[in-house]
Amino acid sequence: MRVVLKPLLLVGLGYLLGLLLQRWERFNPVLYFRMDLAFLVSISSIIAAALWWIGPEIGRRRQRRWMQQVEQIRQMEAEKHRRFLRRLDHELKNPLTAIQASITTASTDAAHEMAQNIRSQVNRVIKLCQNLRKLADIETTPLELNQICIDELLRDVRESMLELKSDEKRHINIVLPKVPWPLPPIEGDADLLMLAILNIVDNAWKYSSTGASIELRAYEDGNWIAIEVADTGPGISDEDLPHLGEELFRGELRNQVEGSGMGLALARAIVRRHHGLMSIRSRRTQGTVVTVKIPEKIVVAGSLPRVAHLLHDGMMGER
Amino acid sequence: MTETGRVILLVDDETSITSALSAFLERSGFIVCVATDGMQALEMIRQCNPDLVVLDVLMPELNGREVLRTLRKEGNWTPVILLTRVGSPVERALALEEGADDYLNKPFEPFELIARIRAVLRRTRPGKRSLAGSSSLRSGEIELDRQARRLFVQGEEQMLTAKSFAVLEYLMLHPDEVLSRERLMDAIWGWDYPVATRALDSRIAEIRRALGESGESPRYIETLIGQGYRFVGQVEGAP
Repeated sequence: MRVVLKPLLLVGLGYLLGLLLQRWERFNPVLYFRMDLAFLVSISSIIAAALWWIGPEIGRRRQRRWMQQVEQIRQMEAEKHRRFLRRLDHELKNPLTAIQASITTASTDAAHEMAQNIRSQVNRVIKLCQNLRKLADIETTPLELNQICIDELLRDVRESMLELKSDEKRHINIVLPKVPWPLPPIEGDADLLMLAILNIVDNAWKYSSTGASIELRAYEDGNWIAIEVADTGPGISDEDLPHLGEELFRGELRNQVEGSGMGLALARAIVRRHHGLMSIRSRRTQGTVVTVKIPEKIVVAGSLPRVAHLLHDGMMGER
Repeated sequence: MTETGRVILLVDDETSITSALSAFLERSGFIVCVATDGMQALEMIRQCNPDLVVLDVLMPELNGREVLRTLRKEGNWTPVILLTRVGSPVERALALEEGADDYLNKPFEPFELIARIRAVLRRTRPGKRSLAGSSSLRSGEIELDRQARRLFVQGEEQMLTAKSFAVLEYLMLHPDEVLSRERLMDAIWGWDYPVATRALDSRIAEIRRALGESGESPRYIETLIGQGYRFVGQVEGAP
């Protein structure tokens, strides 16, 4: 509709302008340009229409170019970061292999309490090394996309967790909408998403006390599926909150709870690979809720603008 | 065990690694020779005919991969365990494609290396093409085309996802060996995450569906509760 109205309006305005100019005695465009009035009016209308159309298009183009540049810089930074992680990994691996072989050879003879200590510390560094590599891998390995049923995913997470920590007691409750329709499946790499959610639940588990409940919820939010992991742990301080999910970051309880500072960083990297968002809200002494939002469908190539667009479409009704 | 007196050639350009590992391997009863670069490794393999080569991938000039390729091109089937450092899934796939009999990510538990060496020595016959050097694997009614990544059961093609194919391939390349879930996870996913082994279980279920067998009376893949999986069929390789 607007495509038709726009030029009509323009022609009308041009005509009015022409008439006004004709009344203005000191400057008569018909005499000045030695042209017919109707001809002048149509030329000016065309120029105006062209400007009206092209103007915003130029702006949009400039903005697009700017966004592309920002994206390029972001990717370059990410690439640099990956390269750094890989190099660190390379540089650490050889000495670690040598140390490990030496201790194993030495510690089989003598009283080896000290060797045991060195071993466990070396193993810690090895673990860290592997986690850093994993992080770099996750950012580049191709996703194996499949339809994922959220219900199944969350139940798998719960079972794995209870199996793994069978000596500790927590309740894991799953809350899913069933009415008026169940959650649609999402598209993603099931193994990776499971790893992400497991890491978040692992955190919730570590920071809550025996017998506490952890809730896994999922709901639809426009074209997104949100998955929440809620715990009744000690909460996160305002100073720590913005740093959560950074590699190797450990909160103020680092001395009381064991961890590597990699769990949430891995989860965040996986969610990012799915063009999703991860956010955390927390209240001291009450608990923490980690929300992972994943678009229902991933457009694999060049999907970033689509997600950025979706970001502003938060309020959508039924489809 | 029969490995006493077996000759292992250790190839790595880092002397800290070769000295520490050769001491360890010698204590375990092997005879160890050391080469510090690819050219030297090739020469020593041709001259002293070791029972197995432990070969580092990243070396200056002639790297481990090139050494392996040269050997196989000459029709030399000396068993090789590659020591990879990057450990990305692509690298792992390459290692198998080029005919390595097994691979280990650095850094590794030295005892794990011994276990791998023993397993490889047990399943390879001197002078014969190993399973790892075969482009297609056969067992009973199964045929696995490793190059084209296709699976045939009773001559009919069965579809498998890329990861499931890799799991089946790894199992068939290590017949009669108990493979822990952690080892399979590490080999195919590149994580040793204990919590994510469920991902492996669902792949095994997919493979079993494709092979048309159940977990209760397996002809091919046996589940060992608390230990892992084992490929029980007789596997033969074809060039």
